[in-house]
Amino acid sequence: MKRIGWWFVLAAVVLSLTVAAFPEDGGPRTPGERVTHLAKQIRCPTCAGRSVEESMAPLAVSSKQEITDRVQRGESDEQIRAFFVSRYGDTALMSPERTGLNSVPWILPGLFAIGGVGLAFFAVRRWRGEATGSSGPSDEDRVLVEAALRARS
Amino acid sequence: MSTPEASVVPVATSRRSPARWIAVAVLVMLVLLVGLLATRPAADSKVKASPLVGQAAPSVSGTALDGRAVDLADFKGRYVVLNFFATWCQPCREEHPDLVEFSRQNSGPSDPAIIAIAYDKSDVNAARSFFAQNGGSWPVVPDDKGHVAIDYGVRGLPETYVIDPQGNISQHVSGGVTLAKLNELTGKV
Repeated sequence: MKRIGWWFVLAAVVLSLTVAAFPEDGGPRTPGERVTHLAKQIRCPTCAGRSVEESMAPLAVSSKQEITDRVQRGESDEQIRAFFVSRYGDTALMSPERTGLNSVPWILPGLFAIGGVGLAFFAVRRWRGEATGSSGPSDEDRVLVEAALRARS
Repeated sequence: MSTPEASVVPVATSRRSPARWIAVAVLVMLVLLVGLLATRPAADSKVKASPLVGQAAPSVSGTALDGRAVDLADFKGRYVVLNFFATWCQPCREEHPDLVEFSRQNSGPSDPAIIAIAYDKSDVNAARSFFAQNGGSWPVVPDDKGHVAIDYGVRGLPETYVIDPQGNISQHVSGGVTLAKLNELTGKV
């Protein structure tokens, strides 16, 4: 039982490291695709909950132009995202970066899933033991029986 | 005949159920998540501190509406009030008299200066007329491509940045400014 618990801990650690280390971007893309991809990640400064890709607000249009200019200048996706974060703070991004405290919302759902599976595993195991009676008397039962026998003799 | 009753012995379990540990761990994670989300600023919050405060002011240069060349670097050694506005923005119109008065009170070569950024390129002619009618002799630089607004992290209008004599952004005001506020932000009070 103890060993199984450690397997769950190991799975949680592996999942956390994988999520934290896994790059958000895929492989190489054309400059146009990069602009669109980045524009979907950058929040429109003047609109509620919309990306600069989705909005035609003047600042959204300017932001997309800024992205285009920076892509043409050869900046990486990370550099361009960092530029917007340096100007608007963390809320410049539609989704938080997977670094530091921001990685918590990415990791916790996986940990919850593992915890849930673990709980279900142990619950089923206990129910099956109770149903079949195969688990035998518990330590508690043994102590009670021994106490009762001692009292009789 | 009496039968001695077995005394109930309190039993301490020698080891805890793994399920209980997992439940506690999940609860702790849930509390952490709620704590994290509760202490972070909302994405759509109206009040946002500029990450640029304390940083070197991004460069601003261009040709003002009256034809003079403007470069923020030339204002080093003085406070600069960098004001983003548009004529269709009502709070911008409301703060304008205070800016005019502040400009009038600070006309010396080492006094705080104002530079306005005309945020909307389609508003340039209206801005020219607005200044002609309402006063204000400070340079108005059109932000043709919106680069200056993005460089300063502008979210709405009006927004004002105060740049200290060393060239660093010392204050950021989202919304209209008053004469008293401008005096306070530029160390006049």
